Amino acid sequence: MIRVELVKLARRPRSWVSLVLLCGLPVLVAVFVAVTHLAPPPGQGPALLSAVLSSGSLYPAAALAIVLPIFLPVAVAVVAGDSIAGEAGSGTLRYLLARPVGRTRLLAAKLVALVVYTLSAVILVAVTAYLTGIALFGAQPVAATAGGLTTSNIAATSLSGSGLSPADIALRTIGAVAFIAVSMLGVGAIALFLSTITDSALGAALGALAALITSEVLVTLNAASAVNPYLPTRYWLAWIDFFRDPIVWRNIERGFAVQGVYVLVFLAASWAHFATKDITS
Amino acid sequence: METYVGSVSRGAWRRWSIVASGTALLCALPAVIAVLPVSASPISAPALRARILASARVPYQGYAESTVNLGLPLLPGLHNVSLLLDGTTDQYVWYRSPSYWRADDVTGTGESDTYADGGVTYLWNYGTNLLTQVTGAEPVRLPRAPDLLPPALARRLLDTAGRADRISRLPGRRIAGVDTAGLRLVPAGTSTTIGAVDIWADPVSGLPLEVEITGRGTTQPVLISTFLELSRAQPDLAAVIPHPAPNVGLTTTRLPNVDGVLNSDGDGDGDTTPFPPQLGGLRRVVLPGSPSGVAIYGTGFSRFVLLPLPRGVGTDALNAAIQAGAGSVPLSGTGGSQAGTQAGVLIRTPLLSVLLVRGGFHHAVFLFTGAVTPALLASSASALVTDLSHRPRFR
Repeated sequence: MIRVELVKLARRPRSWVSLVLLCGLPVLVAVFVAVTHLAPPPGQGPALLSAVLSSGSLYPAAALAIVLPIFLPVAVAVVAGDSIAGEAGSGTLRYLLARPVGRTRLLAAKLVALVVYTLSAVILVAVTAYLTGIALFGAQPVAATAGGLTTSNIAATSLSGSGLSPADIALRTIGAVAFIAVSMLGVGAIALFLSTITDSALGAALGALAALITSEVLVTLNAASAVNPYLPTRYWLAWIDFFRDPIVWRNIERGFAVQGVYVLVFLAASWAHFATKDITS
Repeated sequence: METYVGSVSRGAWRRWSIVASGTALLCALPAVIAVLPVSASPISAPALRARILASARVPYQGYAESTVNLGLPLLPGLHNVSLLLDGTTDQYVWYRSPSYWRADDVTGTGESDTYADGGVTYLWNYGTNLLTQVTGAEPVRLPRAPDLLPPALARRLLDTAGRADRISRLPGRRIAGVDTAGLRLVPAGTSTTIGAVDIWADPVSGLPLEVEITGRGTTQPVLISTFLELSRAQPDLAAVIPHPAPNVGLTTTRLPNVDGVLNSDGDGDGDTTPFPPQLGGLRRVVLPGSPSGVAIYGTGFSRFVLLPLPRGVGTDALNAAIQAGAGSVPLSGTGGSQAGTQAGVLIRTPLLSVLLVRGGFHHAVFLFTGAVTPALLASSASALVTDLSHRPRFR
């Protein structure tokens, strides 16, 4: 069942189109920055974009910052919203369940496909951005000296002003990729739940995006500070904490925890609803 | 065979019950933790005050959030101060001792750090990619983010308080996992805008964990600074000293920010004319080593600062204040040798008052500010303008 869903995901042109668009935007931005040498000043624009002119090895993180606010959630919401509602909308859900396939198993297979898509999207953006960054901006480490001795190779500067070695950057980027992937799974879980409720894939995707926009509005509102720590987008930007020195884990840990709760609750709700839903299409 | 309860199957009831129970449990968890009783400390208010004032050597590290709602307009040359005093500031702090600590003011795209490194202050700004070493003492400087940290703010406020100010105990709160004891300080003077200062501190170490400042005549705090996470572990020395990367710009300065904003003397012409010894009934307080271009009047919470601004900055500040809706305040008794009564421009907030006025032969702009009533600033500004009008125009 899982294999079937993965093959279906891989054969669907829109999966690849969305991945190409996701990877293409950072490439486009990199080309403009490389040609004009005009990056936004540090602290403005997408996080770390200002630093890529001096080190392309930071570009995966900058690329994730570029796609995180809109493109990545939209792509994940569309795929997740299509999971069940797409089958129902095209009239194939009845036939799918007519086979000796349990609903819980089908939902689990859809979930695995969603996780694979989300991870693939985030990792592909990071890998494409790394290759683009190295090709366009280079990543020549410089030797840092202390007391006349060369101590380490510094490839970039952290947000705290200290040097980061290539190994530091690689580990921190992996951490950021994992964090953003889990954040996107929260979006996917909401869209998957809505997908079990409606027969409209578009409606499910838009519903999830509406939830995210609501969260974004409330996050900026002082009057909503009581619910602020529990909003799904509250800790989305905490991945940047991987690029401070030392890494400050508080918001990263909370981000993982909040997304974990959203994934757990909405997957459970998806299961409770889908397992007992009347399938009419 | 599926059985039904009404129109819903038992299976559906069971599944939704599990989901609803689990969700309710997860949602209720923070609320349950919040209402757990806080152990009451028997410590008296004077003892808690003394313990807080003596807590400067208590090491800690944590994450603090400070929210200030003053509604100050962005004044030229004072942007950072305006931003600091109007919004939320998130800081990670590593405090080893009074001489070795570090506080990072973090945003979603960068950070500004302050290091105290054995008597030398370093300021890191990611936006400018610059590490600034501040040499010499700073008896007077513009506010920085670490000033809002609960320990620094609480000790400063208690240190400012006079004998007449009343202190009393407040019920404890659990803050960042610590059962704290509360202390309320009510300034006695009528010329301050501060209605009450509430401090919650660890009753054992005296370390302040939360500070709330409420304006006079209001009930909602205008400033709340609290730890969201706290550890009493002493940070390593390496964590509190800067390690700049090779491509980081380095510079050295004395009294950063102050030099860029202040004019140099009591009438704004840079010839070291002294400030008046008394304004608005408050005596000038001379701080050893402070720059000549700043004057402090009053004591305790009834205290304000007087800054003559450079010509360009002063005019821009006046325009910015007027555009932000600052009101005009007539300054009585300023007719003197000038035509008619002069007016100042007043920015009124629940806590901080700012008054800008032109004065003297050079038409310098003077900025008065403090947690004092607008009436006190207006009378002080009147006295200054009158004093300047009597000074000789040419020397």
